[in-house]
Amino acid sequence: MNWLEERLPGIGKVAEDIAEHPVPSHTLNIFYCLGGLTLLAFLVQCVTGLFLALYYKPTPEAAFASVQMITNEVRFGATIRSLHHWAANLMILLVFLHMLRVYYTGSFKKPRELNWLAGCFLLVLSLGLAFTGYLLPYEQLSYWASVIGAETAGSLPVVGATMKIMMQGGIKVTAEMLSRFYVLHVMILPLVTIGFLVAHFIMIRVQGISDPM
Amino acid sequence: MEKKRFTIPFMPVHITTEAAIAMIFIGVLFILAGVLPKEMMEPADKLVTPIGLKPEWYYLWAYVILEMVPNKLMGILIPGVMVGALFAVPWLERSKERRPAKRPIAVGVFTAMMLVVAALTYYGATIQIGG
Repeated sequence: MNWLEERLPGIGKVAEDIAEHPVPSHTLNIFYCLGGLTLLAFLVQCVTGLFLALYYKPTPEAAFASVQMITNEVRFGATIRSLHHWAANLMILLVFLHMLRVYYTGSFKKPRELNWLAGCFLLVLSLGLAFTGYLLPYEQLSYWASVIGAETAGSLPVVGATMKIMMQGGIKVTAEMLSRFYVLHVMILPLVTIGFLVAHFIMIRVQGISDPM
Repeated sequence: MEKKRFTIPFMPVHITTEAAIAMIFIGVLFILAGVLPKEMMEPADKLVTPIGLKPEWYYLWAYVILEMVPNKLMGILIPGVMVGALFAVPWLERSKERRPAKRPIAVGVFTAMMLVVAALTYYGATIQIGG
């Protein structure tokens, strides 16, 4: 610690602050673990997603075959893919349950309105990650789910037509749809999610965990 | 409103509890992945639309509304407004009171909405859509 302190003055204070930070005892309760578990599910998604991305090929011709290879040939591939699948489902369930806890304990009330808002964005982002990831194996269900998604967006007023073209990569479904969903799934949405997560945690640290009711 | 706050230290009490729960979660994940692995299904076929197409469970409630409401625009706007209302919760419910028993109207409305979403999800899971 002295070695570090000499090179990074003040780091001992930071470590002390983290280690001795008092946590209200009412948070030792399963309902107060749901947010942390959602984060853990997200981290599992980052790690397993990284491994899947090593083998996955985002083109209509190769996508299905590459997922098939991950499932049947790559060592631990089937396990990694199953973990990614289950952590995705659990993440959505957990983010929803976490929202119920925050609502029923009234923890979203002043001064924590903005953190509720960040949480809502994180819920929508989770659903967006699930939607874009669903297309990637390029199975019958995943393909047609995305087609219906694009159709549904297309019937929105004003922005609908543009949104549909942007999702499909053209007036009709094109090969671009898969690359767009892929980029959204592995780059854009995860980065935006991390941004909102950081904001979420900074606000918790600044405002403190809500008092017991 | 002034209550005594009992606190526990982050190290080691809180961090070990969190670590234990995290390990249980990872264990559950591995059990699920082992017992119910994600299998391959048929590859995408642009020429054949599957019959009775249903989205994953977390989109079912919105899909059921989309299918049930005859007007397509309304079918999109209703789930949209429901999600939008979620964002507005802190501004729709402005009282300082936090105990659910002391804010019956807001909690009642919120619970009713959640039950509607749960019922629509159940309905969507059990019925055959389209085809």
